[in-house]
Amino acid sequence: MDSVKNIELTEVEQRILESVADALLVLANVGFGDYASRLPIDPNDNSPLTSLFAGINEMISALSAEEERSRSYQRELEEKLATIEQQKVAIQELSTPIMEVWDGVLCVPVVGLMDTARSSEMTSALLRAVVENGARCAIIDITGIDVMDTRTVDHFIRMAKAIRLLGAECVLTGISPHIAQTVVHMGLDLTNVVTHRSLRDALQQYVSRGIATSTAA
Amino acid sequence: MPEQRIRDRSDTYGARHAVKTLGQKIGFPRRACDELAIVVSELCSNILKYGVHGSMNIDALDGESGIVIVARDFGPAFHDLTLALKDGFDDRGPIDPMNMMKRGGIGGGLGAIVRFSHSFRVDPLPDGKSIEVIRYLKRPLPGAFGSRTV
Repeated sequence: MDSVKNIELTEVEQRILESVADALLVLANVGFGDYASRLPIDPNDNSPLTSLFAGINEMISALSAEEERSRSYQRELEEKLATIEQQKVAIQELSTPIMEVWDGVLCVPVVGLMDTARSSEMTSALLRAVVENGARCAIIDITGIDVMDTRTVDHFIRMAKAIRLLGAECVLTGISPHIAQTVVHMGLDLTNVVTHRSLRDALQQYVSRGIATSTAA
Repeated sequence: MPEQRIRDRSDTYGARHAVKTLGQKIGFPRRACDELAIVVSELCSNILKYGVHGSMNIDALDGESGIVIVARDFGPAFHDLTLALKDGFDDRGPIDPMNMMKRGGIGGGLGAIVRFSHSFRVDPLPDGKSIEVIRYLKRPLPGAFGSRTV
């Protein structure tokens, strides 16, 4: 029986085997991410192997270019994701802007949709702001809100009471006729909740009161 | 309308916009569109809070007689739906007022959804659940104030 060891290889077969071994080595490198290696080509050699090797080299170059492109897309993507995260935080902060418009007078202009999550966030943010600022008055303007579920309205009124407990007045402005109807129909207790028709009226009242107090002092 | 992926808070805005747009197209008055937006918003909040992630389909009913919203999530089924529907409750029981702030909600999401729609239905899915909410165009809402119209 012939075993491989006993076969005498011709010179040509020997060369081919060596070339194949070289090629496999380079391809293994490429497999590990090394796109720099290329197969050696003798330009004077017109054998089919040379064409094959030239083809393989071109393929490695193409892969290398592709890999670089993919890496730069990856970097771009990561930057964009970071921007999105930052913007999310910004949107969150902007969605419940609490402004101190005068000494101790906070103003919260609410626009957009008032769902349960938002009313919960607003309550936390506002109570925290009242404490941190030592506010004596919080004016919540809901001119932009026409629709609120009854439970959310209830929560709003509770929030006003909580603010009262912290020693600040809570003023609601811009209540729409629809919401006014809802509040009345629900039979909510509105003692301690001051209302004004517009933010402007409320500011006029509390800021001038503030000025009067500070000039008197 | 194509299925909306609900994976992130910002997906909520897309879904809200979609339902308002469709609502206007069908002929719902502005207030009803806002109410539908709240329904979608509450469904999305719940998906994100309890369902890990999910998806939503918002479509017109046959003959544009209303809107159907189907919210799917990959979270656990309601432990007790009757409890969950009550304001101030979750699916296990009353929410401790001390925990209310931490939860990021007021225990009123499902209540709001039910009050702003005509039909609410939960179905189990192999890996989660599906909630279908319908609101008809020409039917009044059976709200707390009986004379309310759509």
